[in-house]
Amino acid sequence: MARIPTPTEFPTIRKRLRFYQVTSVITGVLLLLLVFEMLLKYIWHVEIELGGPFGFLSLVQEDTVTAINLSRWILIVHGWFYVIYLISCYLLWQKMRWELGWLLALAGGGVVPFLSFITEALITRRTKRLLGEYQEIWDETDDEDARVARVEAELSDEERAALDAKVAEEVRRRQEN
Amino acid sequence: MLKPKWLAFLALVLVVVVAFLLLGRWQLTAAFESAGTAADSEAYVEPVPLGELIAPDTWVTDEAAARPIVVEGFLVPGDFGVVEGRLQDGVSGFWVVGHFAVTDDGTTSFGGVDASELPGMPVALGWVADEAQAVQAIASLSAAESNLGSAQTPLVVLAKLEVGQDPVPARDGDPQRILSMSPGQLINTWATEASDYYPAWLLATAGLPVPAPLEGIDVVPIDDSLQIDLLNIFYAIEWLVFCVMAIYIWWRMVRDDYVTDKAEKSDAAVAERVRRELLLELANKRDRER
Repeated sequence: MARIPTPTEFPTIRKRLRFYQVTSVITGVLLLLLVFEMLLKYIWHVEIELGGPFGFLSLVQEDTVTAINLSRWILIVHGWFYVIYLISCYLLWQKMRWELGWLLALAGGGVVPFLSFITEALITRRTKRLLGEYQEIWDETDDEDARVARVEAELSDEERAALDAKVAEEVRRRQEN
Repeated sequence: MLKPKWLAFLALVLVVVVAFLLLGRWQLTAAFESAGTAADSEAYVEPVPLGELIAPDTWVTDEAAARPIVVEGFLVPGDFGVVEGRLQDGVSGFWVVGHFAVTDDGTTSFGGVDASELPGMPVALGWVADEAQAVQAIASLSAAESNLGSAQTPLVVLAKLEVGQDPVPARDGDPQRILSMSPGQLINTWATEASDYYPAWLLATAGLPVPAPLEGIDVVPIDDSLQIDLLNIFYAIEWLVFCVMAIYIWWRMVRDDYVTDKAEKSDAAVAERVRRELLLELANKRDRER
């Protein structure tokens, strides 16, 4: 049986999914700002100045910013927030026990403009669907556990001893392989 | 730990880590490359003979502009003038300029005995806040109170070679006023013609007379202080963080795999699984019998 998250982990997973959703939206927005800033800088050669001599927000020729260089801050904030985004991706991915490819897909979602919003929707849907499936599996397991407990309670002492012997022999056989 | 799968994965992680480290190093070199002094900063400290940088009738190149030079020559009497709108410590004032006849530029010795047989170049001698005082300084220069030098006894002058500025027309007041260090404009004010002209001018730093009330012209030094680009440093740190992440993910996956393997293979775990299987079989059998 493949290892799947246990029901006790579900609340944690839901929390981590929420964290991932929030960080992915913020990363997506920051990335769009970054693209906007790059276009301004490398095509029109202007930078965004905050609270400079030309008003609250203004576009000035590059390398002439005297107040707060918003363009530069977008770069710095996006760079470091992406690290937080990666951590949130890892946390979700690790608890869901997905393959490595999913982590790479999540990481890549944060570097292509607009892609993070699509990734976020798909991942959220997948996580919720899987949690539903896992819940069903665990419910089945619970039913089986109940049956097993019932059968065990009905066993006579001889039957129980025979079962114990059989189990011990089977364990020996399997562990030798 | 030694499963081929994990070893292959480790190799991949190491490749990624090396790539990240190289990217980090690239950011670091970018940070320090933009921070250090220019490779040719030495050239702006050590004076070289004028002739190595420029000859009469040739242009000032990028490599020659604003470099300190040493040259021999003399000031031509009667060819002094005033240039307006010169800043010194934030105060707008006047420069006294003159006609410098070059006798020896360090590579060529121009064999003239007279200013008209020697190449000439405008030279800025000193600054004063008030125009009347500038005129007074010119008067004391012309009165030969100071040593202007001559073809026979040239002065050795230290100066900076500067690119000529565009002439600025004086639109109000006296149209003859000079508002910029334009060699062409200055040359036209000289009484004595030179044999050749340099399309440049000299900013005198030593070796020429600076009669009171003139002050020497302040040369603003080139800023070569260390300015590290913090953005590149940030990105370098970030690449390092990514390296740590990659290694951590590998280690964590291997460890989780190992721990669960160990737990599943313990006798107790196997016994529990077997017991459950057998009891389920039994339960199914009894259900069929009923």
